[in-house]
Amino acid sequence: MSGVESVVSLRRARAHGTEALAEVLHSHYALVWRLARRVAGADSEVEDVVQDALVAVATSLGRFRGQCKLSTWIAGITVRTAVRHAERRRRYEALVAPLENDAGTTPGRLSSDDPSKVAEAKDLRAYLLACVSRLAPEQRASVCLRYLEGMALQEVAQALGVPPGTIKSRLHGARQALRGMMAPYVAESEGETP
Amino acid sequence: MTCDTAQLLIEDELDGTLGAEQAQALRAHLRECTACVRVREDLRRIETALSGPEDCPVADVVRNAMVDKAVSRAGAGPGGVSVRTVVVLATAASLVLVCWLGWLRTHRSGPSPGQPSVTAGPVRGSLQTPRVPPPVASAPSVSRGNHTAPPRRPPHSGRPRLAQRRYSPNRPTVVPPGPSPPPPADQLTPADVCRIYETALAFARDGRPTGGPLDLVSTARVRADSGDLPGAIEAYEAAVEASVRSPASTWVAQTPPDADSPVVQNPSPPADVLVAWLAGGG
Repeated sequence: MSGVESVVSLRRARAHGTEALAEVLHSHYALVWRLARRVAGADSEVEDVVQDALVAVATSLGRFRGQCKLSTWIAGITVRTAVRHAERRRRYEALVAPLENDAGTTPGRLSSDDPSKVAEAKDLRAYLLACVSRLAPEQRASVCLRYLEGMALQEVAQALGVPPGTIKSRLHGARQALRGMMAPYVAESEGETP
Repeated sequence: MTCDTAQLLIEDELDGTLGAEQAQALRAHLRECTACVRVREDLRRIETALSGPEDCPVADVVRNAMVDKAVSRAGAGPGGVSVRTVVVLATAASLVLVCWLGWLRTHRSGPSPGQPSVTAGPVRGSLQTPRVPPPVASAPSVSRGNHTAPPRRPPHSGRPRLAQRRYSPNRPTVVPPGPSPPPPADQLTPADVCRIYETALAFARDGRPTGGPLDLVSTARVRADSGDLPGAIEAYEAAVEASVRSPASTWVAQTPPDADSPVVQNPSPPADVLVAWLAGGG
């Protein structure tokens, strides 16, 4: 949705109530879902994150002042919601994981996104997405907004409500980590190359 | 340039924030450093692989249900007032109401036993204290048959009014406006004579007539009421003369000047002018 379309739909939403509000939510649903999936870090929580983010957007749309694009503002709400969920899950796992390890029933964390398994598929994007899910939530959010959503550095800073320097720092850490995680994949693929 | 610096510049290049000079320096470094070239290739590979949004494989039924739920949870819609806002406003309103009621109770209620009344004494600056109007701005109204003495200045309380007495060199000198031009002499009524002469007296005494001229003024009014216009004029002229002759320095010492009252620079000329007007319409 372009900037002009965003403004038009936002004005309609404010003027015409629920019907136009639903239209705004529908038009940004894919963005919310993508960010929720990548930043939350667990498939089981995507639906909860999306629902919470949609409610947050719907209830606070009247406070949007247009300092940035509507999609940037919605992305910021979604990322904050997803990070909150991720932090909550991390605390829960830190509490529960030792008990499960003792019982020997611990399922593989993010088994569906395990980089070693995905590497077998020779799909660098899938491999890297799996690596992204292992980053810290703040780094994950920055990478998702910068790469997956194609936002500029300034937009990412606006969405997350932090200075651009902070985003730069997070991206630097994320790139170093991703490069390190990507090394086995690259070595393997280059070893297979005749 | 070190490799660490070069790698930071590589990231700036990827983010589109690299300056021209830095780009030139980076290119020079990359021509000599294969390790940094490798880092650049890796980072570009990561960016290329991750760029572009994913598909959103969510069924329309699920999507519609989630959006409907969000809209219904939003209540009145995006333009409505949230519950949090209502709570904050209600709290603020109740605080204001409590403060107002407390203030009313303090200032409106009668004196309780053992507690002096707040409104028992005179309140400074309140309407209970009569305020003397400026002497010349409005001439004393004189109606035939109801001669009242000009308003006396209330006795000075003796309290020093420092704020009013403070000298200010920038304070402009206020000259009272002159009386409206009198009608031609042959059309003057006794009331006109009274008004003009008393205005002249007010100028002569700075609006504060003393006892001597007041007697003459009363005599003039009585004569004017009885139709004896020449006698009234004679009495008024005597009043003006007595007023001008009286020792002004003594009078000023007894009644300190009010900061609000106009300053009369020379009381005699307006009286003379008025008398001249009265006599010859000049």
